[in-house]
Amino acid sequence: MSRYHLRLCLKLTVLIALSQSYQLKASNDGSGLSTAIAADLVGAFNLSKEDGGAKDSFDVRETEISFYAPIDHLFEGILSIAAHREGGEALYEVHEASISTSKLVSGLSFKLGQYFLGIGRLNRFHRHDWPFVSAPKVTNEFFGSEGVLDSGAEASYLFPSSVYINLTAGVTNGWTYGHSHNEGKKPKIPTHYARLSSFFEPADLGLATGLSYLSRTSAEEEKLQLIGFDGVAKIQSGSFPRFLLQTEAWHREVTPKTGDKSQSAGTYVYPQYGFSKSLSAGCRFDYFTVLSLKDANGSKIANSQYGFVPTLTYKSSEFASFRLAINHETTTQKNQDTTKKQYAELQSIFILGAHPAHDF
Amino acid sequence: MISKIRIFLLLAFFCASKSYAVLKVMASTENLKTVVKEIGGAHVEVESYCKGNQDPHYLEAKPSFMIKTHQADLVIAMGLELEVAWLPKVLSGGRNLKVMKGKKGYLEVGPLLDVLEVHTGHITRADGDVHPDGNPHVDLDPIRIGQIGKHVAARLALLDSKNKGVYEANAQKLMERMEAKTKVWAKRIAATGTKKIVTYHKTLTYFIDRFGLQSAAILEPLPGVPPTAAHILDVIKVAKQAGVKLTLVENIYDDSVAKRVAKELPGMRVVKVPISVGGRQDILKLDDVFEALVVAFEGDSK
Repeated sequence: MSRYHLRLCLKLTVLIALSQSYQLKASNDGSGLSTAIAADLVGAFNLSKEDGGAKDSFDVRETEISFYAPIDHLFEGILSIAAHREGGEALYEVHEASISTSKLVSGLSFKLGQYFLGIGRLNRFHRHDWPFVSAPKVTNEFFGSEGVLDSGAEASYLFPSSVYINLTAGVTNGWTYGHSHNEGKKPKIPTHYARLSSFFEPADLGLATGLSYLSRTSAEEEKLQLIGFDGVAKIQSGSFPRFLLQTEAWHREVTPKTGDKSQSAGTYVYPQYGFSKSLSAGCRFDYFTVLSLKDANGSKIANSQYGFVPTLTYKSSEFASFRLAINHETTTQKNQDTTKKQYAELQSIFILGAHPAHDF
Repeated sequence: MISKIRIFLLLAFFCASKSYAVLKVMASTENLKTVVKEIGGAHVEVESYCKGNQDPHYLEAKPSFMIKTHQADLVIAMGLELEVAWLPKVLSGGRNLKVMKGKKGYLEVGPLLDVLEVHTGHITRADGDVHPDGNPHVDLDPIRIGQIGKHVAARLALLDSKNKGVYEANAQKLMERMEAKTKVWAKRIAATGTKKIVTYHKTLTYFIDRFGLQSAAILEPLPGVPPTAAHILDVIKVAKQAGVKLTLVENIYDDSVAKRVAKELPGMRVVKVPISVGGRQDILKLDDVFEALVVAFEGDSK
């Protein structure tokens, strides 16, 4: 066992012991404190002779410990701490520390603190709750491998209509963008975002859709603008989703203080079929392109990155899942050689303790 | 012309005030919805989150539930953690201050009843999806249905005191009808001579208890865990030794495993039974649910 693993095990043991003592205390004092511990183990292995970019090793990608409870009769709180493997070190960081309520004003909920921004689809879910192993190319490029988290305030309003229409809007510090480990710099305009979502239910199908917008102007006066669509369709069969279709499409525009603006766009589509409560299979299709790529003459250069990722998932329960994904990635650019990567990912996720109910 | 406008405005006001007077209720299951409808009559508008052919343990917290919750005056749940996987999300997503837990507009009926299978020992996930506070399928006992009716009536009266008498009278009628029918159903089940049964999940615990029956085996090795090959062999062995001749598969579960087991047990009947109103096309009332269960016992002898 490497020094990294030893250190990780030690830290995890301390956290679990702490959480159990809190849990025991909570069960006695009626505070309603729940603890959830999630471990996300991922191995990536090259399938072709050429370097496919995978590390050929099986590691702890992330461990996360979350405490959540009602704070009092009005507010709820969550604190989640995650450890990532970065540069051979287990880096612990606060993922979420927020106070929220939906009990102050009818139709309105508020959140204050640090959290993953309420935009798109994947950004609103913990990575261990995603239906596939790793982030699609487009979300990886625009939001990082996990998602964008920041400190600020977010409000969500449910419109009083017969159809579900919800507007979420928030403002965060914006000193950094993405999943950063440095302090960053005070931006000219902080990160601000909104998502308008709706839900339709034709027959047995549940269809949730959302339109998102995010903008920020950095200290260097570089303006970032993101516009995206997300959609999820599900058909439930008894106790499991028989059919799932998840998609996101995003467009990003970055305008520096001087020079040309850059534009890129991408999408992913993930259909999945559930054979039973335990077994499901899906295939994700990814596409990404830099729209503003130009040659010395100012002519546009055609380019694209696309891929498909067949994924097989076995779940013994909602608390343990095993996943196999075969990644096929192709990068093309006019007048350049096409490059291809093939690698397999093996994932095991287990959850100890509570697991709160999920959004649709 | 002015008088026509006045009449129209008066009618509009009358209609608006009348619709406002009706209590909007969301029930977690079809069975609870049926109780509420029977108690509340014309004074309530009630819908259920979970339909008769769906498993209330594993519902999705759909946004459409949230909008209905947002508009509700009362949310009634079974409790005992039956809806723990989705209802908390629906309540917080509904953002309706009236129906939050602890408010007058939120009622869990299960904990108000005499609950079976309350676990006192140390429970872990290795024991499956156990409900530590007791079996939540209280609605499959006709007597407890009567008791649920009383609790529903009390809560409706709290929210709409002017119709208290109507709610109490309807609850009393439901209670009396269930008591009378239970006596008849008990006699009919006793006449079949069937005492021991196999079920898929521990859904029929209260029915079994009420009618003096015995659960010889459960097809799930642990609550919420699909049958395994080893466990199926155990069930066959136990059912053979106990001389079980009837397997009841609740309508929300697949009956193929039960049919496989039955092939190894001569004389074993497998009946897919509705456990909820709407669980089968012809199951429109609570009485129909219990009637269908009794008929399953009577089988060919009827």
